Amino acid sequence: MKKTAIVLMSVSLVFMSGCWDMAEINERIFPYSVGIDLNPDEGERYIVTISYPNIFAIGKNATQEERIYNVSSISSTIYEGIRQVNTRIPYPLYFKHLGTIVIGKTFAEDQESMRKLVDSTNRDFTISKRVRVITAEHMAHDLLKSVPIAVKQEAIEGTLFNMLKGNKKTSRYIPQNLTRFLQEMDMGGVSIMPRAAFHGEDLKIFGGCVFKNFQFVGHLGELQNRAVALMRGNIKETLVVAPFEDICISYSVSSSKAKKQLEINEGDIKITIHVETEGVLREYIYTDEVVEITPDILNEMEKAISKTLEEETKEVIRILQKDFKADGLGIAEYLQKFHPKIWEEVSDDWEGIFPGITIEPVIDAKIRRMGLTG
Amino acid sequence: MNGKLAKDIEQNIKTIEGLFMNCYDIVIRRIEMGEGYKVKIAVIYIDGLIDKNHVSEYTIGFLNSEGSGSFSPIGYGKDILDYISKEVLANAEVQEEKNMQNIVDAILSGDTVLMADNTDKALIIGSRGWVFRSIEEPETEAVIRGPREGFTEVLKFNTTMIRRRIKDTNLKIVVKAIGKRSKTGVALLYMEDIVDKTFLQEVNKRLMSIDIDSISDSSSLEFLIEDNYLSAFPQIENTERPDSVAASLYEGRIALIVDNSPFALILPATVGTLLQSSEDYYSRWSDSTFVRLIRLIAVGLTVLSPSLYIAITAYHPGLLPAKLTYFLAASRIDVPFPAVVEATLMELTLELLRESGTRMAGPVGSTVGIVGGLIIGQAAVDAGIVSPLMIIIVAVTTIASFVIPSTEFASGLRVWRFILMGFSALLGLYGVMLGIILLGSHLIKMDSFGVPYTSPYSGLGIDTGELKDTLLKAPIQHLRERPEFTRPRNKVRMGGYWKNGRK
Amino acid sequence: MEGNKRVSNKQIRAMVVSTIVGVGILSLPNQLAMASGNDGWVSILVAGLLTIGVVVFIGKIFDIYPDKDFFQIGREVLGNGIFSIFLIILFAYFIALVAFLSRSLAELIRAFLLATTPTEVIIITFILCTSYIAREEINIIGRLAYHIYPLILISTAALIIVSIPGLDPTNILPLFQSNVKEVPGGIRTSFFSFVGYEILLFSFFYSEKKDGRLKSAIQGVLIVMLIYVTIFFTTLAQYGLHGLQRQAYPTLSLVKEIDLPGFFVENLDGVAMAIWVLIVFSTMAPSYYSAAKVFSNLLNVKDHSMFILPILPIAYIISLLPQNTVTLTETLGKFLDYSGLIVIVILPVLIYFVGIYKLRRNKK
Repeated sequence: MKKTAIVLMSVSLVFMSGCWDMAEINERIFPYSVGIDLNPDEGERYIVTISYPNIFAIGKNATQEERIYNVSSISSTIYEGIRQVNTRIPYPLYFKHLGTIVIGKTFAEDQESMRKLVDSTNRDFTISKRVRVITAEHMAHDLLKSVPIAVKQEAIEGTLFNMLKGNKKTSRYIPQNLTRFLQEMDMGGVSIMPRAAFHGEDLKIFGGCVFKNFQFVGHLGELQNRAVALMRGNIKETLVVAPFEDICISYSVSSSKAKKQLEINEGDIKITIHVETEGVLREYIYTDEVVEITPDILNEMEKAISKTLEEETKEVIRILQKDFKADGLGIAEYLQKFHPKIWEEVSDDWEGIFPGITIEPVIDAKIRRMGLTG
Repeated sequence: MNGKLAKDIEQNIKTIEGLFMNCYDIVIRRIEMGEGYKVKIAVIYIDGLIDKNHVSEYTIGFLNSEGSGSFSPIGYGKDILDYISKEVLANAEVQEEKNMQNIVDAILSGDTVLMADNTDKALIIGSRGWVFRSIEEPETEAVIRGPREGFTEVLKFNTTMIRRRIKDTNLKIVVKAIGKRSKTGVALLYMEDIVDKTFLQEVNKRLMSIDIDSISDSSSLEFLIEDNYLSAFPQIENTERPDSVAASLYEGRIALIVDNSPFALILPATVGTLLQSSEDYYSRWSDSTFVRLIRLIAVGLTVLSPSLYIAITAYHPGLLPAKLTYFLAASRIDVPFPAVVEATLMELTLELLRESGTRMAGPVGSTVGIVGGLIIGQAAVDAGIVSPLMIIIVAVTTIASFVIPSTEFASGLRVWRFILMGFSALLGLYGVMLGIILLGSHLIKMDSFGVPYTSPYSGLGIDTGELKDTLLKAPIQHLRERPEFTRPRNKVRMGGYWKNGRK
Repeated sequence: MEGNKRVSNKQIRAMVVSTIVGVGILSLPNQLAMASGNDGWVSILVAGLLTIGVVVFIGKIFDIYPDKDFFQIGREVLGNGIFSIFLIILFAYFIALVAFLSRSLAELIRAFLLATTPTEVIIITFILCTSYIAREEINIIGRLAYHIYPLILISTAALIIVSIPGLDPTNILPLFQSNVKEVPGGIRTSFFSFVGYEILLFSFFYSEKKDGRLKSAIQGVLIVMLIYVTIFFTTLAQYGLHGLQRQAYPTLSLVKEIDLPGFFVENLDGVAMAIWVLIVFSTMAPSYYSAAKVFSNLLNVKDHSMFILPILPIAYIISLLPQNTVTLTETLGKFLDYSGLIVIVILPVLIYFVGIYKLRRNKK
């Protein structure tokens, strides 16, 4: 009897004071993008923008029109900014579904701010470490505000997130997430994340921003970004336009492999990057007479494509080595994994050594299929 | 009353009349036999319990017939009853008895008692024949394919149905009377060369130790002999199907059939056996395996789904994909209650419906179902009191609970469903896990007659090969051995024909 | 049918696995990466072999005295006084283990599931729920282990299979680059993730078959080694060395990386936490049971179940002593390391050698 009494008492006690964490699903706000900027004006340092879906506009019985809300706040730390946003909206924020972090350009140029941001997001228990990161051309705040205007097709998990989901068949930009960003930073001190801009009515994600030691050092164009991806071996699909005889041919890459190789000549490090691509010939020209595409012609075409790609990659290598002095090709990673002895020698001054090493791309494009025309 | 019979018939009749005072159904028929020398004879029975035609024709009829006219006590010594039983009566079962108590018991059980003057013995004539329900198809355990006969309320018919299936002298049927007043017949059935001896002793011991007024149904007996009477889960299986009982006996289990109850008890029962249905053995193995996996899922759904709904909507929306989260949130905008209240409300409504449905059989029941299921559900959603997903959850929970073959096991799970909902309301997913830990610990620590309740999963010297007839249902060719959890003495039930390949 | 308190060899194997695999599985790869870099798996293997060594000693003890349980052997070999001192340390060890387990669980639950629920509530509910099964005898603990054991194997296998697409095997490189001096530290770290085999002290005596019980126990340790090594390699391949050093709970982070397209549950970390609660429970129940068993033996009482509730407040208070997770590992963790060394490494070995010595002397 005594036992039952004790159990009953403790149970009722728990029930009276319990349910600490309960918050109904419709009484939470699920942000899908967060934008962070340095405040260009006087006053506190950061502008935090949070954009979240309006659940009243979702579903069959939607009662409201506006689909996305943006709330911004100016604060001295990022975390404080989020807190302040929280006081302006009716329900608590819940960051588990956060899909994208948009970084303003000035913010990206500030190493300290970037380090803080990365630490606080990586430390957080709720934020998924797969959260996508992008850099806005100007202000993250403006970019997020423009998303509802630019929306062509509603995506319920957030337009930006859907564009960055990683199943896009493009290499004009490569989606970057927090884990990989940190990993690349740890390995070679350099990472690339896509850039986003708002042009007219279009939201565009393209190219890449090169970060060295958590600091923005420069932009890469779309083709340059593709060249980097080619050398890192993470191209999914891309279209190459190469001049052949008098016209341009289109060649779409369906898969590619990249392999790095180290040579040491009298103390100089030479890295050869072998890239092998496979693909389809998409566009040549419809001639009056039926031209049989002989192996020779095909060979020529392949050579032309390889040449185009080689030129592109060489240009990127030059930019990375001379302009940015940033190892965006994963060479540091390669050395660490496969030549730890050499890495030990160069690791202390890798930033100084990298611009001086020889990097040679060798590209071997292969046409596997030619479509229906013989 | 325990005394012996008196020599004087009048005195005996008086005693019986005294015992059966105010019992309107007792009949004492007096006859005088013989032409010269009249012997007083009384035929005593209870109206309604006996087969009247049988008694009139073969007992009273022969006593009064011409043949008995030449009767004279001389030549038969003093033992008149011996003469009657050997020469006069045409009944199949006749037996001498001296003890008054046994005579009274016999009368009460539907036998006819014949008394004569000048002897301290009486004859008990087997004449049981009361009105009974005919053999019908079991309602609770319908099968698509398989035998359709079910037990009735008559013990003898029920044991006969088993005997018809097991034509083996190793099938022992021991009948005991349990209940001081009700004296209910309880038949203990087992296969002598298969059953584990210690197990049989244990069952006997528990049956012997019962000291109770009456047993009204096999369920009372079940509650009296099971290991953990406080548990919400049954530790003894019950069935209406003789084929299930026979199959269990072949596995080395013990069956108890209680008079006046169409439900036989099978023991020991484990989670595995409670999740089996006799139909599993009548369908193809692939089908049965699939159905068994479905049942496991049903167990999970019926216990967990409301509490997981609470945990997810009120504590961890992060577990759902973003899209679903937004839709779920949107569907709950108008709901004024927290998820806990919403879930409890709907579950209780459904329990009301279920209860009223069982009380109201037939057309009324289905009306209740329609009103409850369609109208209340639709109205609740339209009024915005509950979210549509909640209706789905409640419906799934209930349907899943009907998938479980043992209704007792399903209702045990139902109790735990509510406990888990409480835990979940307090501590979210962690609370659900605590609930699962408690439920799991409870099931794991239980025994059914020395057999772990969760066997064969608990693995006490038991091969995981057992899983082929619990989790799965292997083709019959692969079930050559009896299940091990009953520790059968004779392990093999199928010859080596299949093992050595087809001839 | 009372008195059937036997455990089968399969249950012994399951007990070894489910008791050893516990809180540590979430953070072990990180600790190893911190201690010995890419070659952390070597220290798992070495620590596992050391554990097998101790397990063999325990098995031998019960071979020398086949008809006595651990307490009787201890008293006979070491004498009442010395053995009682060991028992007190053993009791302190188990209580600290229970406290450590429940506190670690509470901290992780708070971090991942219930942010504002008081730690006290999480701890007390967990200990209470465990006490329900800890009052039972060893056969029930064995059954429990046998239920959790497949869960551990299946969930580990599932985790590794679904994370294979995202792995980069080159992250495991370079192998054999770490300093020799770093290996002992790694062994120390990983040896204490093999703690839990001490349940054999209480279960060997009750085994159904004498032959084969030691083999099953060793198989159990080998299975744990396999689990640890595969999880270490998987997390390493996922994050690389630097990433691994930055992840406090790499196993859980690994779950978070899983992206199953179109799957009903998106963030599988909740599911992982749920399974992990069960895994911790399967470590907690035997420890709690052992604590009560040791305590009842100290007081010379046969039935340990009456001590389950009285030692609950002790464990509860101890679990609340450390201020945060860092002090938790610094104080309770250190205490467990040292007391564990005494009672689950030194004690069995000591009993074995003294036992052998006494046996030889008696023969002469």
